[in-house]
Amino acid sequence: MTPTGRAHPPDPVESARVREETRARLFGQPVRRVFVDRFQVLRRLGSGATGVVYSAYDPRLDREVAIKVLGAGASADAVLAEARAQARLSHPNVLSVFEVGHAEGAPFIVSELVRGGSLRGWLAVRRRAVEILHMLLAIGRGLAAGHAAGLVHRDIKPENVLVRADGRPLLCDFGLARSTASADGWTEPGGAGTLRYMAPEQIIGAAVGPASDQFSFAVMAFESLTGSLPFEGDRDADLLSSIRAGRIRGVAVAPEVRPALAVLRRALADDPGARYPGMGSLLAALSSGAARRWPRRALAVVAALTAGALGAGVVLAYLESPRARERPPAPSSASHASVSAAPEAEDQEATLARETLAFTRAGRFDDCATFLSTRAKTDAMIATWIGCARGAHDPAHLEAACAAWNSASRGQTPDRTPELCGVPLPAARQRYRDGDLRGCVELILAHPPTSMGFVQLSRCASELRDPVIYRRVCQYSESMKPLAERTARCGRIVELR
Amino acid sequence: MSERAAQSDASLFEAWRAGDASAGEALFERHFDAIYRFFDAKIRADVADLVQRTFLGCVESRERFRGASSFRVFLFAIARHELYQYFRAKRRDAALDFGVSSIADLTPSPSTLARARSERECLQQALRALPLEQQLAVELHYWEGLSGPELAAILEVPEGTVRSRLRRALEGLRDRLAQTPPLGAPPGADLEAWARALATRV
Repeated sequence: MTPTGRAHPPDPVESARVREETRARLFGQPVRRVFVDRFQVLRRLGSGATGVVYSAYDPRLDREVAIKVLGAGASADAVLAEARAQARLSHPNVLSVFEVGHAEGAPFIVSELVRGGSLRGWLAVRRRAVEILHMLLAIGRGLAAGHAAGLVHRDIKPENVLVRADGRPLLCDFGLARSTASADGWTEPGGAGTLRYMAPEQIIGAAVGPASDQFSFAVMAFESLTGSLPFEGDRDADLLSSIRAGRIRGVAVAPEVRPALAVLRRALADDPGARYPGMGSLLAALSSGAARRWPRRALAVVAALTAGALGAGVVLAYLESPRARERPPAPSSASHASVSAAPEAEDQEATLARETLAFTRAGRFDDCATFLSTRAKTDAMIATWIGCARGAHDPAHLEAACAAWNSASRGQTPDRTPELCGVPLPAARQRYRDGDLRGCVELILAHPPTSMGFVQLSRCASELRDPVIYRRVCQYSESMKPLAERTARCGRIVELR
Repeated sequence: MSERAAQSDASLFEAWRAGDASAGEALFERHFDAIYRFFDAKIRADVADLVQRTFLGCVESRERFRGASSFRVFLFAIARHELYQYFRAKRRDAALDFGVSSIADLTPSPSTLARARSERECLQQALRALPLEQQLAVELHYWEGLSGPELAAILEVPEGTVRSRLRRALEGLRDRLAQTPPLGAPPGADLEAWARALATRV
């Protein structure tokens, strides 16, 4: 029987490289270099779904380059289209393409060689949020340039962003890019991309356009800023249902990251038409969320607002308190003067604090809320319960926790913050739900300050983005100083930058 | 060099064992591609190592060649042995059962979430999901053109076992590819012919 084997091995360059290396080892000879066209293959850098990447030496221009060799199955036309598309772009955040050619049936693309790794590796090191944001903005600019040139990337993910040693990111592997054929920028379906980062229209195989890139970019941005992917689901069906339901994972993040996540939410909409009109507006929203223009005081308030002052801020304060981390003190030791509760309650509190700390560290806000619902007795615990309910996006828990808060603080002991009964919170919330944000604000401001009023006010203010309202909210929060002092006594207040 | 081309595997091997390195190189040239294909479809990283061990291994076990039907069979038998050893060492599990475990089980693949984009990738994925023994049977028979008796010698099982393994493998492939047009075009009653056609197309 004659062999029916394939004429070419799947990757001619790689097999040639292995052949020379093995021959050298078996027969004790120096390794003979493999050439792709005029380029001398040096090292294999990595491989992905589209092909294998090598570093190579170009004798003509006396420089090192990167060569990507695509599988022999890749059609020459598609590869040419890819290379030409990317060669059209000249942008500091897009990898430069130099040449394209053929080697023994396999097409190859020559591009600049980047020393450094991908975004994935860059993120493995602990970075400040502001650094990550700047990185994302730069990548976004590269992507925007691609869109402006009429291209759709189709495979945005951290592995396709190279980061140079000087920190500049380069978007590459427009490997699946096709020139947009139609005027409105949508191309035919073709399947491509990595599931985790794929836009829903891409997953189901429908038409893909710049808005799909925006979605993938937002997934990548979310992951970079929080460490987790926004949507759960390993298989198409699960992932799609999470996206359709808008079920974005609740994660505990530092206050300064929250504005960015709020911006990304829109870009993660299931309907492409609901996302930002273009990368430009998404980037503008992201950079203004860093709020460099706002006065510092207002910035502090904004940070508090978007954390939901009685949410993440207090939760962190409570859980990070030294007491939460220590072992419970013996009953005879001097009681911590700051907490007014009885000593046994303090110990209980410390134990509970440790346990809730464990829950929140694991991101299990819903479990935490359930856990606290039967045990929260002091204000700090109830406040934490509120925070967890917000983190879990659970309205039922939020209602119960707020009710507990209101009933607990109904003027029972002199050193509690005066809470007024009859604060028209339900009415205010109804106005909010009806979309009458200003009406909601007016109603709350018309009454003496309460902590729950502050929570509702903060939500309205962060959506209205009106400087006048912010000033009023600052004043409101000032009048709540007694409350702030009490939470400070539980621990330290999270620093607002 | 042309005398080398005319020489049989057996005589080249004899010359190599006697110390003629260029005979060894000629043998290497002849069979490298097949051995590379054998490993490349299954493991990513250590292909060069395993190819080298296979060729070195045939020098080391030259005594066994006396009984083998052909050099190719001998070489593939060693390759198969190296492959199994590789996985056993990796998993530190001498009791690994290759009648059950597939490549998909044995190697973590980052591309599990990426879609197969071409016919060949579809087929590769389907093959990798078969138990390793079945995958080997299919590849060696349809891709490398080895006969039943040759397969029996390489896989060290009776011919009847080879036949039933092939049959089960083809059924497994057919089931898996049923959803993948046009590879899934119904094979009809003759699984064999379908498999051969597949081998030439992809």
